[in-house]
Amino acid sequence: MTLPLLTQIVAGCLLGGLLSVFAAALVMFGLPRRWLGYTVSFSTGILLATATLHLMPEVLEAGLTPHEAFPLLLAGILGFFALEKFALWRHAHGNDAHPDASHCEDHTHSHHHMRLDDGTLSILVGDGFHNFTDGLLIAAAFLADPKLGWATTLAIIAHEVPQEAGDFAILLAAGWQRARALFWNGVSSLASLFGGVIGYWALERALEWVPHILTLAAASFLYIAVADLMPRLKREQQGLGWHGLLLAAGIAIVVFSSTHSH
Amino acid sequence: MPKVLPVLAALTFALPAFAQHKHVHGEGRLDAVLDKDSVTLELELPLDAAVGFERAPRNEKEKAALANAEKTLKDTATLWHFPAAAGCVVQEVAVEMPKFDGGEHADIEARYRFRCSNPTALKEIETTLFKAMPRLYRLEAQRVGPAGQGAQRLTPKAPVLAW
Ligand SMILES: [Zn+2]
Ligand SMILES: [Zn+2]
Repeated sequence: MTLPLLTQIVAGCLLGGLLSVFAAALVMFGLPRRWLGYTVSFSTGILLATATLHLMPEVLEAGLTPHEAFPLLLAGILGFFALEKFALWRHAHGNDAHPDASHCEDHTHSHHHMRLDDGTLSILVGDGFHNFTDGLLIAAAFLADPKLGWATTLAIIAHEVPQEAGDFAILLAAGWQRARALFWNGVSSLASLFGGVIGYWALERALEWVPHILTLAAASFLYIAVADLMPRLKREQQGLGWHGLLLAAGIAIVVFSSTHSH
Repeated sequence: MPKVLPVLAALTFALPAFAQHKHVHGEGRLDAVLDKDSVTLELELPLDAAVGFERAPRNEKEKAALANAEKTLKDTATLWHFPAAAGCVVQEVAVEMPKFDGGEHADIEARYRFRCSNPTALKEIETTLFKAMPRLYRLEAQRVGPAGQGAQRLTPKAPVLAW
C-alpha cells in the first residue's frame, strides 16, 4: 500500500520540520555540546552522499544529459553562495553567525517584549525562506520517485539539526525564553510545508522541471556540506576518530538505505 | 523597420527547421506512427550515444563498437517490446550507419515497420535502448495514431511510449 504522493510530501515536510526542531531542542537543552559537533559530521556524510549518490544519478536517469546537469549544478552552487552572501538564504550556525553571543546577555532586557529586533527577525525570516526551498526540494524528489523523496527528507532533517540548534543559540542569547524560541523556530520550520505543497502543485504541471530542481537540491546539499559544515569540522580538535566514524556512518546510511534497483 | 520584417519572417521559418535537426549528444529522436495495423518507428541517434565517438573508427576496438551498435539496433525483438495482445510482427528493419563523409557530427538512422493483428491493444511500446546505450539520456518522441498526436520524452527511468 502506498500513500498518495501529496500525503507523503506533507508527511516528509512535517517530519523534516518538526523532527529537526525537536532534535535541535534536545541537543540544546539536554545533550552535551560536543554532541552537536558530532551531528555536524553525520550530516556532512548524509548530505554529500545524497547529492552525489542519489540526486545526480537520478537527474541523469530522468532525462538531463551530463552537459546540461553539471553546468546547472555549478550555477546552483554559485547561486546559493550568492544568495547567502546577500543574506537572502541562510544556513549559518550560532557560533559562526554570532561569535560574541555571550555579549548579548547584558542587553537581554530590551528583547523581552514581542518586538523582534533585526538580528532575530532575519534569523527567523532567513530560516523560513531556507525551509521553504527545502520543502520545494522534497516535493521535487517525491515527484521523481518516493524513495528519493524519503532519502531527501532524511538529508534535510540531518542538516537542519545543526542549523536549528544554532538558531536556538542565537535566540536564547538574544534573551528569548526557551518555549518562545522553540515555538517560533517551529513556525519557521513549517515554511517547508508551504514549500512542499506549492512545489507539488507547480511541478506536477511541469514534470520536465523536476530534474532541474533535483540538480539544485544537489547543489544546495553540496554547498551546505562543503561551505558550511566542513569548515566547522576542520576546526575540530577533539574526537577526530568519532567525527570520521560518524561521517562514514552518514554516507553508509545513504548507501544502504538506497534500494535503487536497475 | 520594414527591412527587419523579411529577416524576421525568414528566421521564423528557418528556426523550427533548424531546431528539428539539432544534434544534441545524449538526445535521440523517435517518430512513431500507428496507421491502421501498421506501426512505423523512426529512430535518429547521435553516434556519440551509441559508441562514444563521431568519426571514422581508428582501431579494431572502435570498429567492433560500431558493428556492435548496428547489431543492437537490428535486434528488433530485444529492442522493442509490444504488448503481447497486440500481436505485432516485424516487417522491415533498416539501420543506416554514418558514412563519415566529413562534418563534426554523425548520426545513426534506423527505421522499423511492424504489422499488428490487434492494433487496438497497442497501448504502449517499451524500448531497451537506454540499457544498450548508457550514453543515451533521452529520446524526444513524437507519436501519431488514431487517437491523435503528441510528444513524449522517454528516459532511462521512463522508457515507455504510450498512446
Ligand atoms: Zn535546509
Ligand atoms: Zn555530435
